[in-house]
Amino acid sequence: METSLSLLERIRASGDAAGWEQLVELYTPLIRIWIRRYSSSPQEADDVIQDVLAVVVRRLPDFERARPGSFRTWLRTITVNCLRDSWKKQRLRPVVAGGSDFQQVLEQLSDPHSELSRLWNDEHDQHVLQSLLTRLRPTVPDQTWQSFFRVAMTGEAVEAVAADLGITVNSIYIARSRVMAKLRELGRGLID
Amino acid sequence: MNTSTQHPDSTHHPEPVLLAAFLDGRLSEQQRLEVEAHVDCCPICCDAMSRLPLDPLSARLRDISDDDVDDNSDWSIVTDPGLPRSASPTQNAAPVLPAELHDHPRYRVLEPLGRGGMGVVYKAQHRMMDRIVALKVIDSRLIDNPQMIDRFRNEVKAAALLNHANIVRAYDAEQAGSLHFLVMEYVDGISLAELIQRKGPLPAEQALGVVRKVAHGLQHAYQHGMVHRDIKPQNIMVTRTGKVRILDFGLARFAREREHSAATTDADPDSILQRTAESLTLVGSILGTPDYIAPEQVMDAHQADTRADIYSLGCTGYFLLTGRPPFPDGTAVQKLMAHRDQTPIPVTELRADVSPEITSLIERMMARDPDHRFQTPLEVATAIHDLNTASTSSDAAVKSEAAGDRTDALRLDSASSARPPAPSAAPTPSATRTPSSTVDAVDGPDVFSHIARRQDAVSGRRVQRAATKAVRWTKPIGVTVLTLTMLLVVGLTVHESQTEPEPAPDSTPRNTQTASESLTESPMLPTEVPIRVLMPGEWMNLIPQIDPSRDTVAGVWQNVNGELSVEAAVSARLVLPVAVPAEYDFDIEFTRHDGVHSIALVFAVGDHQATYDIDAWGEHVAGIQNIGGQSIQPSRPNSTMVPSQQLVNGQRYSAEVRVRRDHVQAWLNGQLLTTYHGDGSDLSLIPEWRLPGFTDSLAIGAYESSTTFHRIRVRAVQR
Repeated sequence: METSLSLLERIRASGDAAGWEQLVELYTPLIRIWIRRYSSSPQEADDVIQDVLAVVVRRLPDFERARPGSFRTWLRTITVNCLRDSWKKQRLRPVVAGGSDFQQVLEQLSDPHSELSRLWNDEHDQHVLQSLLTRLRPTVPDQTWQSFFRVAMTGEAVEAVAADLGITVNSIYIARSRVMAKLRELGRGLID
Repeated sequence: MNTSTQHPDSTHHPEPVLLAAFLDGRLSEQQRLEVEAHVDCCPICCDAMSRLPLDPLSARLRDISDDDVDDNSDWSIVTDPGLPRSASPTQNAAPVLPAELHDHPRYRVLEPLGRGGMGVVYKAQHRMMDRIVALKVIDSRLIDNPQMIDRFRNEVKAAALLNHANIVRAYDAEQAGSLHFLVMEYVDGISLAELIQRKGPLPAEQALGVVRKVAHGLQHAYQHGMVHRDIKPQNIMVTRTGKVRILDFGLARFAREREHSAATTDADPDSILQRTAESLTLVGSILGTPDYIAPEQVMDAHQADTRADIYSLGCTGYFLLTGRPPFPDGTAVQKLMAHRDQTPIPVTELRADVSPEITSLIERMMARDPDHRFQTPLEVATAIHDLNTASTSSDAAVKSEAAGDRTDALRLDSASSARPPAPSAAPTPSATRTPSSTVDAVDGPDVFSHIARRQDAVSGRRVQRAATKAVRWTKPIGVTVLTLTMLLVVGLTVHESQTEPEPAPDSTPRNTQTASESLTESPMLPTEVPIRVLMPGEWMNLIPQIDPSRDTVAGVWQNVNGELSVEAAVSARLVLPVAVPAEYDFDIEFTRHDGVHSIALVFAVGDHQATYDIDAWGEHVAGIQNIGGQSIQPSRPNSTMVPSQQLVNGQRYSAEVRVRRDHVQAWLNGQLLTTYHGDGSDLSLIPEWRLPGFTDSLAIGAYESSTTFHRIRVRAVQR
């Protein structure tokens, strides 16, 4: 069997304690952003974040990736359930702007096709990609990273980057392929 | 190079679909290595790959903030030795460290970094955490009363929620004695203004790269319901490695509002004109000349949404490309008018090597009508990305030009020939001068305040308070309510009498600004500025001031033909855009069309709120609730409960609360219904009418009943 290099697999395989830490590190900032939108108090928000992370860690061994994007859907569902639960128990006094009430917010988040769900998905992907790239960066030789970064992320012309770095166009494409492959591997289950 | 043997036949090329999978990292490692070996020595496949479309993951990479890593444009100028490294060149001697910051328990000040518009910035070390931070000591003119302190803290708190690679992190608002300072991320870099001053206009690609990164930061803020309001080259830092960081989120809004509230201090129309002009001067001195302000901000600062930031970013892009702001000439007032009425000289006329596509991108960002701009910062970032992609795949000429541009940038001597010389309008800080005094020292006892507003009308995702406290009258004399739609004096402002007048703006020392220009002539005001002054005791009709997209707390509200209507919904409520003095009358006329539940007037007494509910709890009771935690439910009645007050649907009613220091009267159809006696300290809102974030606002509510409000008005009570 190949050793999985995917972050999700490693978290799942590493047992509760270590898995907890990795998850907390990866997801707390994102979940905080989500929950703080509807909470007037940081303490309340922190409590809900704890709830969400606890459920994620507990259920992660059972989580089966059924189709692309299912992890973020799973995470959103857990977050919505925790928000609803805290609200019902009056541990969260939700703050909602723009003419809808909190019930509507929860309903929209439960609907995978709603505008709000799409926003959460985008934020999830953006956040996770950013984290993965940060983890990946030290493992990639500098010139390879430069090639990938400038072509894939800033969208510069391949020829310009090649001329600038003094390497062939072929090497640029290869660098891009290598980093993309690593990125996909690391993020398998989270970003696909 | 390793010319591998997996594909010895160089005419046997992988299929495009396989190449695409290779490029996007979707092959197994073994397959990938096979294709890699071929690609390594095959120019034909490289050419083929240059035409492949992006897959979804690759496309997403373009959208994420991307500058945690060096982008390798040349930014060496940022740390060029021998140049002042502070955010603004210090023309005076190093600032004296305030006594409060000597031996501060948490921070050890290392060195002054420079003076910004809002105060002096120091580099400091957090003693416990060993973290290097920047401390921005806020100019004491900006924070001189408890309300402003609250506002400052709240703005910093809101800004601290932003966490993005393109935004300078705000950590905390701190106080040391009477000194207030902001603790923020330390960024080792210079502002874009300084960069252009040193280097001249940027290569197009580099300029667009900066604009794109700022757009990513603004998108993050936008998703959190925040608008910057003062995007300009002075507020954007770049580091040696090309990281781009937006400074002063929250502070710009704070300062602008502070300035206009300080500047509008007289009831006489002529004086108001002068004071408005004066506020321009003040804003000029604190925040710099209005070279980057959006037209709608000129007209009404509170209406500015993320598209105003897009406009200002467009102006910034214009500046990066041409070395001058879009409207470089004239006084501050003339510049404001130019943003409102004129189109700048196209970038391409000032800079022949900039493509028409880039010129039109900047023009679209700077469209005078917000609806004609990009609607979100992300759209800007995407458009820039598409421009890059277009130049990558289709146009060889553009490619080579871009390459040339880059090489040029790398040489980075100011004599690089491909670029036009920096126009003399590059940001040379002019000596700050005290404006000629057109206004006498403020002698009236009145100080304007303004209203709490939500700034997230566009995103509608988060309630956020711009102004956290409306100042209340302490001595309600000389009450004046006025509306200006000029510059930063916006919507409804209510002014307050205070025992101590504001210091006259002219008398304040001006030596703390170095990077900003001041207005040097008597400002010229356009004649069409609409000004309405209500005299003391006069009713102000609020319906025209209401913007349901901004003011709704719950329910679906519509402003139609001068009336406000709401659909039946649980706890439908809307805050009123008005700040009230201690004593006032609040009066409505309404028709309930269906439903059986209450119509409510939310009123404020001191720091407390309560409602006057009519036909409440399905029991047809009316009265004021809660008093001492008691509602007007017959099971938990209070002293103001009046039974048998059933509203007839379809019939028009008038209702009024008269709020005084020691009592509140509730009126219905011109009859006094009931009176609460007390100073308000035992009043509270029932949960159904709570207004998160608006703890001192007025509001109206209609519980599960479609209702039309024909009239909503307030008046300050004259003593």
